[in-house]
Amino acid sequence: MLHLRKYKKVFFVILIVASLSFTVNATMQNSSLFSTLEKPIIFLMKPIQGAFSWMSHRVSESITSITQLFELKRENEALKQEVQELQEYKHKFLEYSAENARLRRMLEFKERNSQYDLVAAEVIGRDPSNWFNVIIIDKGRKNGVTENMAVVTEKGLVGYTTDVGDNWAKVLMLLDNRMSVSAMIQRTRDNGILKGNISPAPSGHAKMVFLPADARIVKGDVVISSGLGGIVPKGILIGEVVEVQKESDNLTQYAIVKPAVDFQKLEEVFVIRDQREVPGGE
Amino acid sequence: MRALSYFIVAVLLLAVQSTFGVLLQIGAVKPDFILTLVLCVALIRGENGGALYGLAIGLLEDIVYGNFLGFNALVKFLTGYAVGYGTRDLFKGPVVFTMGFVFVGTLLYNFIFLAACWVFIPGYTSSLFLQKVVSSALYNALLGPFMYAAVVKLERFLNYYFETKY
Repeated sequence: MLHLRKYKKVFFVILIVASLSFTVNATMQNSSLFSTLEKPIIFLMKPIQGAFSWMSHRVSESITSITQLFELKRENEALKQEVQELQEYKHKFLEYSAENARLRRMLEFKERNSQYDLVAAEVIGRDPSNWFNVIIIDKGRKNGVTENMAVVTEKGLVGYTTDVGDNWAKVLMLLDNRMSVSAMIQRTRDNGILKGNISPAPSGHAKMVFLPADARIVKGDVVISSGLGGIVPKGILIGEVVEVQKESDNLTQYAIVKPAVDFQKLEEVFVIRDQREVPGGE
Repeated sequence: MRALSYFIVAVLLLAVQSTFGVLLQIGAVKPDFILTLVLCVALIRGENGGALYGLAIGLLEDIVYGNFLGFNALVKFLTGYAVGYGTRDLFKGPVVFTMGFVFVGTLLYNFIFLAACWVFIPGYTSSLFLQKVVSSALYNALLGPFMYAAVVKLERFLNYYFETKY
């Protein structure tokens, strides 16, 4: 009985192998037969296969996305680095470009004003308080800079030096309340004293006092240095008149002057060391 | 219910094989989840279970992805039977043993496959056959313990919920 059971099992195995071999052989010899068998099963399997396919694509996409994620991360980091470098280059370029433009203007100014012995200086510090208008420049005694030398830019007068070190100098600017510069109205040739930002001059403006009461000064008149104080040479642009008023005593009048120089954006200045004799000049 | 559960597992594994298989390919070798499952079922349920599951999953593979009806079924049926029969009285506890059985089972499957190719597909040749067979066997051997543990858990689950009599 046991032998029979054993044979039965072997018989089944052989039967299955033979059947499968037969189907393999049959479908290999006659592919249309496989198609005949295949069609209804594939028809039934189609939804499952569709699901397989959908799953395959989704999983494959997800897996690809995951694998790409690392690559993208690396790429992203590299691009960020590149963007940062390019931003740096861009900033440097803009900076150099602006510096170049400033230096060109200054060079032109220097060439135009060959009667002056100019020393170019860079602004390295600024008084942090709200009450003083003082800058520190990087040129000092070693560069021939001394106290009471006029400081200008291509746009006009900045102020004059007060304290000087070996390689630095403090510059009192036009808007400082301690400032006092001899100035004149270019058109009418009326003289006055330009004080700093004192009342009633609004912020960013200076007051020019001791103007003759009969002076016909109008808004827009250009103010230049008169050269009388002995510090600032004559003829340097200071600014333009924005308002003219009589003083309370009616003996003089004052003008509110808007300086030509933007003191907030000062980067490079010139110190006028000396004034040369210009042939044919005054 | 057991047959249905195994069928669902087979369907899922076919999907996994058709997707993850390519992604997990190392060189020319892919892991064979389906074969590993057949081998693990054969190790756990013996030659009858292994052969039957090999036959069923092989047929499914033939229908869905195959060219000749019964080819994969035949090879997997024989492999499942041989492994189930060969390991019937062997101790299968340690992980290394499972890995060894799956390794040998994969080698056997590939040799049966090659033999079936010689029989049914005249002139069939495969380059780097031995290299591929050994690599594939190693890959499957690594998968073996995980698959084995999963099948054991599935069996316990099925036994507990569908066969335990109170």
